[in-house]
Amino acid sequence: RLVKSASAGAFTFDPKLDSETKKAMPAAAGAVAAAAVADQMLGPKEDSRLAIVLVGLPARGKTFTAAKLTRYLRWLGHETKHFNVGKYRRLKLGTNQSADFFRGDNPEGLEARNEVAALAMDDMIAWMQEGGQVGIFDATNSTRNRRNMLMKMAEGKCKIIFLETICNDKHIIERNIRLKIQQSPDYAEEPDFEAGIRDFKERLANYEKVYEPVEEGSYVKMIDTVSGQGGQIQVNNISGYLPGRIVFFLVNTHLTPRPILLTRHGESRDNVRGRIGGDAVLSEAGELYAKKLANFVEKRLKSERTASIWTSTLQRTILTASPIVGFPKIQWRALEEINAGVCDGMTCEEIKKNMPEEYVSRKKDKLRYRYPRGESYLDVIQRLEPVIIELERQRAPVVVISHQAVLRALYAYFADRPLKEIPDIEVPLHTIIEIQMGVTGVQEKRYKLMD
Amino acid sequence: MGTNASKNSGSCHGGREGQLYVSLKMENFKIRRDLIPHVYGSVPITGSWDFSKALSMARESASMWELSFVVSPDHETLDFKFLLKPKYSNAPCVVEEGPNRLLTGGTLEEGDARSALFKIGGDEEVLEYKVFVKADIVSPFDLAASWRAYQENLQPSRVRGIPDVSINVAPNTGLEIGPASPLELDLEHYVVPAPSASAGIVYAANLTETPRSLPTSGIFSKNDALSGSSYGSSKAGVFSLDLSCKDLDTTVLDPVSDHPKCPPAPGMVESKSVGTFSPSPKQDGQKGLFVDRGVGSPRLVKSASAGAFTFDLKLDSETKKGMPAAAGAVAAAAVADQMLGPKEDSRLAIVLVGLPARGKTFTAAKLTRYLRWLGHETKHFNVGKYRRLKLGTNQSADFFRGDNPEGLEARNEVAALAMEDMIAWMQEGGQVGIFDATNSTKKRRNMLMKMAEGKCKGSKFALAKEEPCATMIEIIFLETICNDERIIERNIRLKIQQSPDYAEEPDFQAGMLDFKERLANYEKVPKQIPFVLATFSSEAGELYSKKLANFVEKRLKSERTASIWTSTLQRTILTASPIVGFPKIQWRALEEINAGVCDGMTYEEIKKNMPEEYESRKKDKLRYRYPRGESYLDVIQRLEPVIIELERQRAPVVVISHQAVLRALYSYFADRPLKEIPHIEVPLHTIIEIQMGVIGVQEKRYKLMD
Repeated sequence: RLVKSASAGAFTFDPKLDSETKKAMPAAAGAVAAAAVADQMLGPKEDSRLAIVLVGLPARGKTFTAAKLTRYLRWLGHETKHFNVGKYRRLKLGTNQSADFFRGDNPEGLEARNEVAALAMDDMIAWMQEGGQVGIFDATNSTRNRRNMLMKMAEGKCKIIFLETICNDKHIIERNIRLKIQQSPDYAEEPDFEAGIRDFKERLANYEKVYEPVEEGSYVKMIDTVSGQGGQIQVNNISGYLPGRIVFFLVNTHLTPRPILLTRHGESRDNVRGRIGGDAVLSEAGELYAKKLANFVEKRLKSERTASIWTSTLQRTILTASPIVGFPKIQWRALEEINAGVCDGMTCEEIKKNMPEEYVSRKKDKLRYRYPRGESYLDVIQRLEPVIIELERQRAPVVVISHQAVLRALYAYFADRPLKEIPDIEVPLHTIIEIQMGVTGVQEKRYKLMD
Repeated sequence: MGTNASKNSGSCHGGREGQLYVSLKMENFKIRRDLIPHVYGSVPITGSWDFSKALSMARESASMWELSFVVSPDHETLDFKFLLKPKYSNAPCVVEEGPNRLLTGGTLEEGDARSALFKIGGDEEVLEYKVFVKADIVSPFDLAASWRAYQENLQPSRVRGIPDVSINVAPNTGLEIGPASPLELDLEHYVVPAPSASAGIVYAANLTETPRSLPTSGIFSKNDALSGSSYGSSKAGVFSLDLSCKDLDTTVLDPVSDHPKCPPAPGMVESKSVGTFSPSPKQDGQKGLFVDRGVGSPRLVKSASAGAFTFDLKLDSETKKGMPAAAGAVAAAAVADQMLGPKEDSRLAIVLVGLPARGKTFTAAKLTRYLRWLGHETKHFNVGKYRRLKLGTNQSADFFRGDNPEGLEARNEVAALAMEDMIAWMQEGGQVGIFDATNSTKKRRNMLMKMAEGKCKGSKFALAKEEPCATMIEIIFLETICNDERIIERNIRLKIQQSPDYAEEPDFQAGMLDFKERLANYEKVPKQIPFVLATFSSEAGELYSKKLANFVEKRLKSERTASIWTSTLQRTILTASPIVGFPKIQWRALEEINAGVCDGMTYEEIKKNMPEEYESRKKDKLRYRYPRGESYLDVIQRLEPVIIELERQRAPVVVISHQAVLRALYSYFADRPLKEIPHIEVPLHTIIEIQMGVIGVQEKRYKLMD
């Protein structure tokens, strides 16, 4: 089947969308591109850059939230960077600052801390000038004049939104403090764990004395939302595509620990013949895997109250899920393998032979290459966004049985891998990738059930 | 031996069940006058030896002509001949010399690859052309794939190079732009009537639910009955004209032969999107697993291990009824919430709170439209309407005074009545109820919360021992506060002008004209009221694309900025190419509904090759999913980001897309029930303008050509 396709159409790009704004254009397509273009045409220049300034007392999960948000925005295709002032402080002033360095009435301490914060902010704004889209400024920022300083520095350069995390639940704070002492480099050399906790609590008290919750500018306040049940989210003066998406994301995430199991369907007849796409049934090896997967799931999830199994609408994933009993199964069209368009059902050699230019242009930029009448990896990411939101929202374990390209994109979200690496991530057949979601971020474990 | 193609979904080669895919090629350098190579033969598709019905070959390259066609499997042999004749007439016609060429069972008889000899003008001159014949058995699935490849092969996409986001100053796809056929200066010339339901200004409250308990003789205005009851709850004996049942003749592209049966009552939404599969009954020795893809007859899936029927018993029919119609994210979320137990799985009551003229009803109507479009059973209960029906429309202001005991009593009673209706409807399967009233006192809100809680046998907290009540109702208060004097003033005027409360006000009659005029001034307030122009393009759209560019230029000339959205398919990009000056964005989500294996087939071919699929699609066009393709519900799921972005945009947007996608988008703005979507008429070469404004959504249609 000789399929000729000359990629015609001279490439023209309008001067108005000059390279500078083009750089600011997020990599992803669809909603993200449409919104970015709209905001750029209407809003003032700096609106296209966004700075999210965290606000909150120590041990309120600021850095945890910042990291999660960075991962989500980066995965959606926005150039995002997470600036942690604590890290700047340690690099500049060393790691063993005692609690009174953080006292409100200690002038040198205050001076040094402002200086470090200004340094971090300069870096962030400079990076934005070179094309960064979303900068996340992670520090306590708990006083009004610190926030005014930041706003003055950002004037005319980027839009600022404050993200304040407030927690009134005593033992959650206690848990966070213990985690901080175990993990934070500030207390790495501190031999005595209890002494570390005492010092940190003192530092916390110093901050509490000068703490002024946010009332100015555009802000989002997350009050006691950790458990995911109840709590309060206050949103003030928020507009634009990105801020809207961020609030939507924050409302849906929570900290209940639960595992997410990602796995490909069992080997299919097309895998054996090296054909891409298609809707083939499982090979013998594939069916054996389905059985092994079923009793793996049964053992792994036996202590869970409930769980759900997600598959695509292609028969090879449904058949792989068929031996699993006792859990509801949901077919998602969004979990379908990447659409290879006219190359559907071909082998790589056939593509190389019949469509040499397509083969070459795919190898050049596998992320953005779109099969003729098919999808690119970026298109796949766009349609997986509701899946990600739902995985973040779910409180029970989820087993996702899907396909290679889709799992690469999903895995890249949880493992925070850059977009350009996605098309080459290793997702072997007959292997289960377990992502443990919880307080200490994301842990990964792999089980290989058969070769 | 005529096997039904759809049954053969297994391996493609070897089995006789496939179709014969014949590919003929002929070298042909010198074309004499207008003689074009044709093929005719015994098989009906090749014209059954009738010159006029011969199949013409197409030029594949400078010197090679090509033709490929499919012979249905029940034809054992195919004999045929090449001939030269003008495209549309039979004379002069030169048939090749020699005996018929014979093709049996996919193999050519030896010696039949001889080159074709043509005697021109009575033996003076003999032309000889090399011939290549290839035939192999192709399963329907490979057929579809190759059908697409065949099509793609002939018309390689001319827009592959254009990036997703582009803005072109001059049209760039080599489309010769003759003098753009001038459009009438005044665009109104092209206006054609829009379907009545959404054209006029409809007072938002009129679209809300009519009380169940009130006798049908209640006085309410005509359009209130017409539009309010399109979701008529037939059970309550209220007069209801069910719009969805009227005869919807669909356009030629999508012939629904017989009159669509009346779909099941809206309340009973049976969602097939949750994966259900059952062991296949024994059938002529083929043991297989039926995979239920939507309502369609299950496609037989051959697999050695037919898994035992496994469906979680907890999802009994009652909870299934509570399942929203849509698939994907919505279904997954609903299932998750159901499993986690009553607190999560509760029904949702959104109680509006706010002073009059703060846009409560406007917000409630918009939210209802959005949730309904996503597939959730949603109803909008407006207490003002209940009050008017129960106590008449001419209540003076002091009826609403806080210190007027009878007034307060009457108002509480009406509110309680509305809440009871809402809760009753929720227990019958409604998912989201929107309770639209001022609800501006703590006392009133407590009353509502107690009523919602009261519906549970035990209170929310005594869950453990007692059997948790069937439907927990969770209340969320949605308060709209507006401090902008000008906007409040405008809302008050709108209310006086539209609300039935002031309809009979005599002395206003004189002032009405003056109001309209003053209102018009308000309309000119430079606040950008965005609008959406939606159209879709067909293959032969080049003339239309020029007219469209002309239209867009005129329509958007007074706008500061705008954007053009297309799908990633070339026919929409080509349609958009003459439009200059506005950024163009390609959305993969705006792609036509994916017909899977049927892609590229005509409806007759689907009916002939896959009668089962054809039947099940006709039965429930909304949920039917093409094999390896999409259902309308899938299309709606992927259009949600487009809707959010359209609601968010402040500048006008021109959406150039495809029929099924525009049906789904249009149904959101026109608030049409989901089951009507596959039958909505979206005529070709017509632009639908949706004006999103303060008084809700208004529609206007321009027909640029027939």
